[in-house]
Amino acid sequence: MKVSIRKIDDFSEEQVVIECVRVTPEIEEIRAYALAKGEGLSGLSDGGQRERIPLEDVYYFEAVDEKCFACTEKKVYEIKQRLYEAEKAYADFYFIRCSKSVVLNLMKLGSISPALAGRYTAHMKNGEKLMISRKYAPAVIARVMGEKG
Amino acid sequence: MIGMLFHRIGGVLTRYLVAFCVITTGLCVAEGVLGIWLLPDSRLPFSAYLVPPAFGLMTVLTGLVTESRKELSVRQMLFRIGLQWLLIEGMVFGVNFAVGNRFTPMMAGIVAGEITCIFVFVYFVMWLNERRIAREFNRKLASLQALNQ
Repeated sequence: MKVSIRKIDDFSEEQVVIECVRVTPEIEEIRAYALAKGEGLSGLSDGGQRERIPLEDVYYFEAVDEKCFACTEKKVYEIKQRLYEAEKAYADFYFIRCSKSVVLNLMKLGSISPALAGRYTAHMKNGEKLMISRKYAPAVIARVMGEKG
Repeated sequence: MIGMLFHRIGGVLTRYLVAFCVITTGLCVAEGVLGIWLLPDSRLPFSAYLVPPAFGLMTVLTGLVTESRKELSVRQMLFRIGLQWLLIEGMVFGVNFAVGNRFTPMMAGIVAGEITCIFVFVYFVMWLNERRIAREFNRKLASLQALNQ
C-alpha cells in the first residue's frame, strides 16, 4: 500500500484520507487507529483539576455510585459521561463492556484467564485485574475472535 | 444489543450442552464401574440406557441456581455451586427413594461420592474448555494489538 504525507498550514484541516477499492477489515483497523490517535476526553483528576486524557491512555471506564471514572495506567479521572455513553462512544476504539460496571480497552488488555463458572479474569497491562462477567464474556470473546459482538 | 443477546444465549446454551454431555458420559462410566464392582450379576433392560441422559438433563437444570441477573461475587458463586451440589445429591437420592430403591449406608456413601466426583469432573472439563478459549483469545488479542501499534 502506498503511503503519502502532504504538509498543510492549518491544524484544523488535518485529516487522514484512505483511498481503497474495498473497505476490508484491515482498512477498518486503520480507520479505527487513526480515529483513536486523535481522540481524547476531559476528566477531573484527584486534585480536582480538569485535564485532557488521550483515549489511547485509558485502560478502562468504571461506574461507581452513579459516577463514571476513566482509569489510566496510574491515574483515575472522573468524567462527565455515563458508562453506557462511554461504551457507545468508544466502541469503535476497541472499548467493550466486560461487566455491569466496567468498559475495558482491548488495546490495554494483557490477557484473560478462566475464573469461576464461565467468568474470566482480565489481566490489564498495568497489572490490574478485572472481572469479565458471564453475561458479557461471549461478546468480548467474539469481538476479538473476529466477530463484532 | 441483539448481537450481545445472541452471544449471551449462545454462550449459555453451549455451557449447558457441554455440561449435559460431560455429565451423561460421567454417569455412564460411573454406573458401569460401580455396577461391575457392587452388582456384578445384575442385568438391566434397554430402558436403563435412558437413565444417564435423564439424570444428565435434571442435573443440568440444577445449574439454573448459578444463574443470576446480578453479577455474583466469587463467594456468592461458590455458595450457589455448593447449593447446586446439594440439589443434585438430593435429587438423585430422592428419585431413587421414590422408585423404591433403598441404599445401605455404604452404598449411599459410594453414590454420594460418585456424584461429587462427577460434579467436580464437569466443572474441571468446563474449566479446561474455558482455558482453551482463553488461550485462543490471547493469541488473537496479541495479533489485534500488533496490528494497531
